[in-house]
Amino acid sequence: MNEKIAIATVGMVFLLMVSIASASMLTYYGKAIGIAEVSEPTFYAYPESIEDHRLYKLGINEPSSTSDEISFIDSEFIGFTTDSLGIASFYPATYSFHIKAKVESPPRNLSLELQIHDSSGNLQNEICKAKVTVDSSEYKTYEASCSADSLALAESDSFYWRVEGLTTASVDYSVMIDGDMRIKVEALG
Amino acid sequence: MRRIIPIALTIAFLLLTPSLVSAWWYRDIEVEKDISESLIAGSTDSIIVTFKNPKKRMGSLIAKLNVTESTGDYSVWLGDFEVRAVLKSTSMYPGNVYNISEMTCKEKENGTFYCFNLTDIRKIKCIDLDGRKICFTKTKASYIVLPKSTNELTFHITFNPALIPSDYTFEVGLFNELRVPRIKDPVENTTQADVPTLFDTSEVDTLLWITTNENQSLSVDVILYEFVIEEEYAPVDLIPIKFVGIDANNTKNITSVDIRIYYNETEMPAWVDESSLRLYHYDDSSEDPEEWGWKSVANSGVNAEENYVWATLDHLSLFGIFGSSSREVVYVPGPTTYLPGGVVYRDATQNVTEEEEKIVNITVEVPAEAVCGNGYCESGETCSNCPEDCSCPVGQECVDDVCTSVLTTTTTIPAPIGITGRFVAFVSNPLYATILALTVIAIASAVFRFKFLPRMRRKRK
Repeated sequence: MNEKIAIATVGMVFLLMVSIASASMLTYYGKAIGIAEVSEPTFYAYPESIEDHRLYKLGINEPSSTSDEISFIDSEFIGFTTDSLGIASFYPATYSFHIKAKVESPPRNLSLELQIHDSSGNLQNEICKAKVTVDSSEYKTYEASCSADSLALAESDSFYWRVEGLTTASVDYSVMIDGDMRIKVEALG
Repeated sequence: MRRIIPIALTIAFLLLTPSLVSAWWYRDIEVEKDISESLIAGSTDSIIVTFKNPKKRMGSLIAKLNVTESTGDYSVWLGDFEVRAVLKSTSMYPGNVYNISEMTCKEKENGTFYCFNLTDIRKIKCIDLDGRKICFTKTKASYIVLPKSTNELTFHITFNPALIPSDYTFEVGLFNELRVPRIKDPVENTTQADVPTLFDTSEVDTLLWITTNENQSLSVDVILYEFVIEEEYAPVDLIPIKFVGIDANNTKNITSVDIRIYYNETEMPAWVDESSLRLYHYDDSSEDPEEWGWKSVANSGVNAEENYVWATLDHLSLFGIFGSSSREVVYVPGPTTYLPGGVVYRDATQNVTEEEEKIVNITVEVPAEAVCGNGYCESGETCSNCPEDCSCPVGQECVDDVCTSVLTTTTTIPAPIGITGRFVAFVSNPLYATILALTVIAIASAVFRFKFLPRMRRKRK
């Protein structure tokens, strides 16, 4: 009789263990957990023009695999635009511009400005701007940065990178659009 | 000892049975590909989960993806992630036919996505017509898992370019119920004729006072649903908060049921007006399934101080708490942008040149407009200014826009957590479960070592 009780005790313990272990699975068939560290995006310039010869594509996170040279004079500017971002806000950040440029009569200043445009291409907000001095008639990479507070956008808005000569005289600038021409975002705080 | 063993066996059986029935359908659940450890906002990544369906019948699948910010410094906002899911279900029968199902993923709360592929398969109601049993099919279900199949579920997760840089945790859960029950726990009590008797189902956030016309022993089953996918049946312009299904073993003598369903303010989207919360019942009494849907309960209201919705019922069924939005989004010219849960104002002093300045359509929030007499107690309506929609229950009167009890007696309300709920929560915690299991093993070993083993040895001698 005692042996039976002992066997029953062991059986009871086994059943309790199995039942307790499975009780936490009442609603789930399975559970998987993973952790990802998310970093800021980078916007890359693409040589493919949109609409006209002065507007080009600005892609997210994917560098351009092709390259092309674009020239313009002081009375003109070129722009790079993203698709609609589908976001309502953007955190305070520093925007670092990387551009490969040359000018026929150095030194000359180039204005680099990040803007918010609506779906029709109209300016909604100037985010921030920086200036680089192009000091060579051969291609060199220049870097500049600016910071902005948090942004409010409509979901159809896009980022627009405006590159413009700051000299009054008619000077020819050239920009090499390749996988290195980009805006790197770094969150503030 | 002989008394303890049957009790322990009963507890083990009670715990084990629902686990075996409900949890062991899909098997060999494995993460084939986890989320990448390092990602860039604006990019897309995937999680792949594989599992098997050992059953010889189709299986339903609802996948839940919950994304939270790991450090606690930020919140996940609606729209921070876009999720779509694809299930490839491959039959293990010869020929290995496969089916690929694109699943719709809806963000129910901030960062919580439910993915499913609804089809009209499931029967919901059977009626007896001239001795013949006729069943209607209306409820949709996500039956996409082939019988005897291996399955590959892929979540494609796109990170919003504006996602705040940080660590994010991704948790995947698989369900097969169209509604996801939190706890299922029948409660028994005996009523006295014409006296409201409390059935404490607080472990599912609900208290019931049932009145019968004669003394009766009742078993009441209340199921709290975490999420109901049948959003197509939600009343127009109302936002679903939570749902309970109530049933009893015998409803014949029930004359009335006073119900309180407790809610947590965190369960509500920020834009829901708490004072508009009311109880609705799912009316499927008609023989025409097209007429089924949510109907407001006549005597229903909310106690915003103690966070419960109350109602007086004349029947038991599926009930839902719905509320109306405290504001709506309209397009007006102006420098304001509506965000979920808050308003962000643009800098009005920003430098915009004259020729570029123009009126643009930007959203702004305004108070939602209530319509008195539409059967819904909406934001801005009270029992004073719209008694048609916000009537007070029997025994209460409207004082200063609030339904106030006219009874002089007081009732002590138990906290909305019961002993059973605490026990289930306790044993469901892996840490406590391990401690409990080890304790039981230690006690059993001690009993065996010091009580039975010496006896067995003496007996052998």
